[in-house]
Amino acid sequence: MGALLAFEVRRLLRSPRFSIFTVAFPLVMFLGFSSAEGRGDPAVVAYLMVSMAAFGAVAASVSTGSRTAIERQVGWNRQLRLTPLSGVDYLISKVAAAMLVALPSLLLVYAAGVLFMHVDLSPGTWLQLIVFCWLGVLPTAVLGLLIGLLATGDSAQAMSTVLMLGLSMLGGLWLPLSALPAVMTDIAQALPSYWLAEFGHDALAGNVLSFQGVITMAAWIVVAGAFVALRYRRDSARV
Amino acid sequence: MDSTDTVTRGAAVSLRGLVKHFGDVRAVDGVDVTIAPGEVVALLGPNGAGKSTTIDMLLGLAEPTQGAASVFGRAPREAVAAGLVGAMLQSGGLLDDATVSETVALFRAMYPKPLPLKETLQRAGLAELAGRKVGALSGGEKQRVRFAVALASNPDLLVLDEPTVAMDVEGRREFWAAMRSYTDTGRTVVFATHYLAEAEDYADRVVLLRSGRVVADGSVSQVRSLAAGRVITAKIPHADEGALALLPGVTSVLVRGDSTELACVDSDTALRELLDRHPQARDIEVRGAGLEAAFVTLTRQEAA
Repeated sequence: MGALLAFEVRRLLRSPRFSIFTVAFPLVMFLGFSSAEGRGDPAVVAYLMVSMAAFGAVAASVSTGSRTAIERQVGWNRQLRLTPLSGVDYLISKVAAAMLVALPSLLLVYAAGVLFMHVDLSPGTWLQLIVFCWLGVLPTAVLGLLIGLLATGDSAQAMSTVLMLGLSMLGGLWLPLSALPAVMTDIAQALPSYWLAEFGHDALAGNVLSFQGVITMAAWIVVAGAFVALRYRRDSARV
Repeated sequence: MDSTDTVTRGAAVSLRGLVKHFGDVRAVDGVDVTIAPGEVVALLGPNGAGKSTTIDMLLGLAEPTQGAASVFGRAPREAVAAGLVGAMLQSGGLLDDATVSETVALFRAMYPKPLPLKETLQRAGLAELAGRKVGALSGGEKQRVRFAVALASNPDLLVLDEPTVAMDVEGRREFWAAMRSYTDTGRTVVFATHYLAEAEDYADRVVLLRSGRVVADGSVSQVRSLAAGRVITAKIPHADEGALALLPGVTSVLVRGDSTELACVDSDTALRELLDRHPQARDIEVRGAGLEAAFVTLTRQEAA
C-alpha cells in the first residue's frame, strides 16, 4: 500500500497541469484579492488567505482523484487487480495521495500570507489552520475519486472542473456569503468546501470547531465513501 | 481415490464446465481444460472465440456464469493474491507518466516473494530502458514492460493474452526467447494467440476454441491430424466459393485474390471433382495440412 502511495505521489508531482492549477492559481488569486480588498486590514487578509488555501486544497484533491478515470481507461486498474492489492488498500492509497497533494496547496498560500501579506498569527493558530483545513480535505478527496471512478477519461476533466468550481463558488470560497441572499448560506452550509474554509476561519477567530461542520463533513465522507466502494466493486466486476 | 480428482488437485489450471454469458451472447460455452504444471499451452482461436473471456475467468477478473476455474487448487483470486500467477492482458494497461523501473518496482512491492528487480528487467530485456518513461516506449517495448510486470511476482503460472500483438518479427523472436528461458525453469504458461506459427513453435499443447467451445485439444501434431486433411491450392477462374464448398471431400474454401484454397478431408476425390468441373484450373498444389489448415477446418465447420 505504501508502495502505491509513493508511486502515486511521484507521478502527481511530475504533472505540470497539477502544479499550475492547484498551486499557482489559488496563490495568484490570494495575492490579487488581498492587495485589492484587504489593504490595511489584517483580519480580512487572513480570512482571504484561509479561503484561498481552501480553494487550492479543494482543487488539488478533486483533480487528483479524477485522474483515476484516465488510469481506468488505459486498463491500469485491471492490471492492479492481478496483484494482491485489496480494494480497500487501493482506495486508501488513492485518497491519501489526494490528501498529500492538497497539503502543499494549503501551505504555499499560508506561506505567501506570511511572506507577502504579513499575516501574523500565533503558532497554535497556524497549527490549527494546517491540521483542521488539511483534514477538511478528506471529503473532497473522496468526491474527486468518485468522479474518477464514474467518468470516462474524456469527461473526467470537465466533471472535476464543474465540481471544483461548484464547491468553491457555492461554498463561499470566492465571495463572502454575507453579501449574498440568505439561501446561499443555507446551500453553502451543506457543502464540505464551506466547512473546510470555516474550520480555518474558526481557528482565526479562536472558536472551537463547529459541531455542525464536523457532522456535515463526516456525512460527506461516509456517503461519498460508500458510493466509491460500491462503484469500485462494480467497476471491478465489469468485463 | 477418484483419479480425475487427483489430476484436478495437482493441476496448474483446471477449468470445469466453464460458461460465461453476456446477455444473450454465450462468449464461453462449456470449456473443460486441465493443464498440468510445466505445460506450455496455446489457446488458439479466431477473434470472438472466447479466448480472452476464458482467460479473464482463469484470472478471477470475471465470474463464470456456470462452472468453475481453479489455479493450483485454489480459487483464481486467491492464487493471484498469493503471487502464483503473472498475467499479461490485452486490456491491461500501463501509465505513461511512470518510468519502467518505477512501474516494475511497484508491482514487485505488492508480492510476497518477488523476482529481484534487476533480474526482472533483464529477463524482459529492459535493462537499458529502466529509466525511460513508459509513454516514450514503442509498442513492442511496452509489451516487454507488461511482460516484466507479469514476471514481477516470480509466478508459477504465466498467462499471456496475445502477448506479441504489437511486436515486429524481431521483437517477437526475442520475446519468445525470453519466454523460453523462463519456461525452462518448469513454469506453466498459458497463452492466447491467433498467430498459428506461435502456437506451432512454442506450445507443447494446443487448445483450439471456436464459439466458446473447445473444438480440439492436444499436441500440435495431434491437432493437426484431427483435421486429417490436405489443402488444395489452385487458380480457378470465376471461382464460386459456395459451389466449391459443396464439392465432395471439401470442408471449407478460402478465396484469396485469384488463388483459391480448398481444405479437404479427401483431397483425391475433391481434386478429381475439381478438375471435372473446372478444367481450366491451373497451378494446382496439394499439400498436407499444417496447423493453419487444421485451424481453418476446425474453426470454420459451421460456416462450411
